[in-house]
Amino acid sequence: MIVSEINVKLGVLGLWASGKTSLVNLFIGNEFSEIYIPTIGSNIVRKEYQLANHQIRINIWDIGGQKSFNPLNPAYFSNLDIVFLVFDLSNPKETLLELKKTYLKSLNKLSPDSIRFLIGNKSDLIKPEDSEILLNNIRQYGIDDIPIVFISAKTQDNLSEAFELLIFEFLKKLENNSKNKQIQGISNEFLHIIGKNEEQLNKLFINLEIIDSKSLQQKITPQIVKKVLKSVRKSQKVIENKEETGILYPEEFFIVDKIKTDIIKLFKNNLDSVQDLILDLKKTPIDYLIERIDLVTDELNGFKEDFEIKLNSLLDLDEKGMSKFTQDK
Amino acid sequence: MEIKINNLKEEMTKNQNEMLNRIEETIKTQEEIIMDMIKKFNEEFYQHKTNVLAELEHLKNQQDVLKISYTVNENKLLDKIEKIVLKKVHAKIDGKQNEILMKFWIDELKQIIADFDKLKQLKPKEFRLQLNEISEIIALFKNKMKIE
Repeated sequence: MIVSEINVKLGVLGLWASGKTSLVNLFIGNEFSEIYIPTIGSNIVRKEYQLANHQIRINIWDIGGQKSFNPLNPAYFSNLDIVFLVFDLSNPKETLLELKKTYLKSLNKLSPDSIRFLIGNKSDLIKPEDSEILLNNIRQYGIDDIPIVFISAKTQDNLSEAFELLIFEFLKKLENNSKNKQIQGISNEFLHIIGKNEEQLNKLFINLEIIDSKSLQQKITPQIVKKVLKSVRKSQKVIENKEETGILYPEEFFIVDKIKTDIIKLFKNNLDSVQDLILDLKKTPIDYLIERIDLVTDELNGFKEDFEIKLNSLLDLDEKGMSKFTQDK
Repeated sequence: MEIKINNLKEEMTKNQNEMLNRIEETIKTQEEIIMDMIKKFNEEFYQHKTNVLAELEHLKNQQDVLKISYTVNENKLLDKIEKIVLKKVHAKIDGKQNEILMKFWIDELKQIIADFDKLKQLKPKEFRLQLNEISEIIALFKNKMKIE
């Protein structure tokens, strides 16, 4: 019998093409796509963990990084419990500076108590000879006091572990701050469900003060090679740009259609999230109802703006086509 | 003299009677003529009335036919107009059904948000009903949106 539901709002933020959507998709069990499609507005997905007396619901907000499509909506930064700040290990300077410039201020204002991880994605692209430069870049442009983890969405190295570690940290914080006896022990119960221990997860952290290029290579080379999910690659002609960014840009005629389809898919996904919000409200105990109605009103306003961004982007794409997509590049 | 007066009196009476008879006969004849005229008028009038009624009936029938014909043509015209308008509307919205639905949903969501605070005043049963209604609206939009 379920005693309680624990809802966790996780924000995934970062510059466009840093791999946010890929790591979210893989975490929830979808395929990895080698083709870059910008996220319009936000995509909200859910992952659930069933414990003995609790259900943990992770509501993941994957926020698009392309400014031409995504004006910064305060709803994206509000009431976040945990945050992935994603940067690109093949382009650390630009992506780290963007995190500091664009996201940190809003986060500090609207979700000051959120637990944050700095996620360096695309560790599969790190060449041993570039490791030292990479580490220096991160030391220089990184964000202080935020733990760093390196992952690869493409090879899935450390991917699920990074999420699990962040969730574990949140549950520990919840235990420490809560007087509810039923919450105690929940973080250990979570570890038991995922089949890992705290020591294993803590090994993910990159300690910039002591790490060097040799130990970095050891850290990012996985001991267990994970089975790579079938990657999505269309048979039509693509323009390879791997040396610079590792991203493939398909021909124009394909990408506009794909983006439009994605927008509609994400719109429907977010409709699901609104529906979940309403259903959750039905289950709220009467003592917390007034407060919850206010919170839900705020969230609905955020969703409304997100829906508007998606619709406007769709109409813009109809009118302006590819030029809308290339605006940020 | 007396005999002459008596003769004169007799002649006068005779003349008087003759005149009365003649007047009576004339009146009688006139009366007969007038009666005949009335009779003839009545007959003609009746005939005319019968003809007019028949004509009226015929006109009524024609009117009914025209009414039916008008109604049928009106319906045909309205059908045709409806088809043309629908065709034009479909041509205009072809390929844009999702965008239109998205716009409708956003408008609906704005209304839901505007009314959301009122939920605080509702009794539990009404509260649940209201939320169910919102949930159904969302499901409806989800079902209508098609991904090609």
